[in-house]
Amino acid sequence: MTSPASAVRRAPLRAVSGGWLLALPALVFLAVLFLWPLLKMGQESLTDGFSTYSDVLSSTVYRRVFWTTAATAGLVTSICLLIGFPYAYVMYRSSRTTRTLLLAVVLLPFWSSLLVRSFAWIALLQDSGLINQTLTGVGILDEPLPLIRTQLGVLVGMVHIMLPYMVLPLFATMLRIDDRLLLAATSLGASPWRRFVRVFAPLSAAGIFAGALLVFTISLGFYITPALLGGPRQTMIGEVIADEVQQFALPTASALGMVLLAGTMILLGIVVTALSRAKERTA
Amino acid sequence: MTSARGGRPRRLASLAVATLAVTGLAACGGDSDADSGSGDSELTVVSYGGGYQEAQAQAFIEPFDEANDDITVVQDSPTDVSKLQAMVEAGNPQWDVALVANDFGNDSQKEWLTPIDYSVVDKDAIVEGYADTYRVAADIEGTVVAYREDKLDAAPETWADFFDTEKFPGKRAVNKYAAGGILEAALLADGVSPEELYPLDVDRALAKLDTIKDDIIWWETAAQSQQLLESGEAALGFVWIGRAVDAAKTAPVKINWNTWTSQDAYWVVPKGSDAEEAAMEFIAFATSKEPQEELATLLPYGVVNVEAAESEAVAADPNRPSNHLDTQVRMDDQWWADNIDDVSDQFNEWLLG
Repeated sequence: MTSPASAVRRAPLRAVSGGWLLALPALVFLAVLFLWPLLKMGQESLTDGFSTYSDVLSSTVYRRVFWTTAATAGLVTSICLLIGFPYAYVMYRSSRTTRTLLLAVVLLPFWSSLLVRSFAWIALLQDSGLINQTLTGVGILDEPLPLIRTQLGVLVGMVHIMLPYMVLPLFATMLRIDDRLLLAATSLGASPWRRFVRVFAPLSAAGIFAGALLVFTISLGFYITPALLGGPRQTMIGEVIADEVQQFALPTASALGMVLLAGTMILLGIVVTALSRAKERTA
Repeated sequence: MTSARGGRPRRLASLAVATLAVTGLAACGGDSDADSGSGDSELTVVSYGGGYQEAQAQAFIEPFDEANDDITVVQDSPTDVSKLQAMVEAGNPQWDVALVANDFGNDSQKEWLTPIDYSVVDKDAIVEGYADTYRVAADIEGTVVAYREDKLDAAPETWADFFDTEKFPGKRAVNKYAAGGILEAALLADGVSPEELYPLDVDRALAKLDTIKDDIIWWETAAQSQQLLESGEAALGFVWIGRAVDAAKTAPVKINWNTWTSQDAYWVVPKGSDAEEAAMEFIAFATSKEPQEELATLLPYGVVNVEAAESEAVAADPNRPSNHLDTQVRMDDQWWADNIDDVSDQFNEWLLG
């Protein structure tokens, strides 16, 4: 299926010696501003030997926070997929104008600051906020709903921020699906549901994977949104790391960061392995 | 605004002046022994920054600078205790006088501090209990129970009232900090007498706090506590006095002076300061009558100078912490300095549960 165009595009880079130099700026950037600081962070975390790690790993507080972080990121990813997939599908099926409009709607919040949006959610969700005041004002409720300082508040705020990261890869993948495959399925007698499950969904798998990966890993590092919209029970690891840095407990903060990184890599490794196994089985 | 007043530009300027002076002296081949007697000295004062430090600058930092030709005062902000410790350990503290909170300046932290010279600072002029071996209070603040008059049927009067969600329904804004006074408040509400608070029975305090856990909104910045009271999101709050007074300017907020705990700011002199003498003179000046009276016109805090506390303007103010010392629950800063790590861990664990 390799198109001639891509063959033409790839050939010159191999032919021109040192074509890889084009990647050099990015590589240097990453090496200097990511790998080197990461090494320094690893070094910092070992200032007091491995005892910092054993303290971090044996503490019930940190363990709880790690669990909350992973669970929250997982929930945000699931919700984004649940509402993002149908949305991307509608975009894919729409006319050009509607598509542009739908794209603008999902991108609009993307262009405003995360901090401002989190504060805006406070104004909407708090007990004396717009939603609760309206509901209690017209007499539907006596007591305000617990919208803020709860898991719900955190999820609302985070899904709102993360949704574009799910919709965009999904939409891009769907655009590349060959319509003729769907037509073929129909002509072979597949019901619309069967056609979706057996043809469309597997063909969008790459988009689901890319979107979920983006949303999950970015969500793991959330800091300000859970701090503003959640209660103490919703504390995520980013907040704890910031606290430790402010208290100048750099080895602990670094160790927490390393554990978060390692945990994320292990988790992703498991997911990638599971997915490639599943792919082999279907192939 | 802060940076213009607090430190950096002025520090750079004075550094430039100092450099010029030194090179000038060297060029002339003159006596470059800067330490000789009462020669010019530079005094670096670090405080919290913001409007607070601006008020201090107006009340005594700038007047002290003007009154002493041989001392050049440089301001910096904000204080960072870990930085101060690192500077002292490196043997060269840039700060000569530092403003710190209750958790620093206690006897157990003497390795980083110079004892206050009470032959320079007049101990008798300072309100009792506010002049210690390594620290002298800069002002008297406090954490008070403040409440929205319009949201409650009655006025809360006791510590128990703050924990009574039936008689006083509504959210409570509380500092998310173990040493912020809330553990003391819980024990007092549970019937412990102020004299028997320490050592704190943390388990008992947390058990009492469990009874209002779902009604607490934890604040992490002072601005947040003020906003919670002003918007009415919280009906009651255990907040710093300055923020309670500010909230009362725009919302029907009242302060209950029967329920408050100590919360202060202290001057300390880092060990190894090369302007120790000037530092002591500065502290003496900052805690004397007129500067303290001037400070009281700029900030809602209480004064530490006995005569200033008796002056009419201060004594007539109903919300001045120094007028309510009889009901103040004094926190044991030394106990906190020794136990903060363990108690914080327990408190944080409780918060997540």
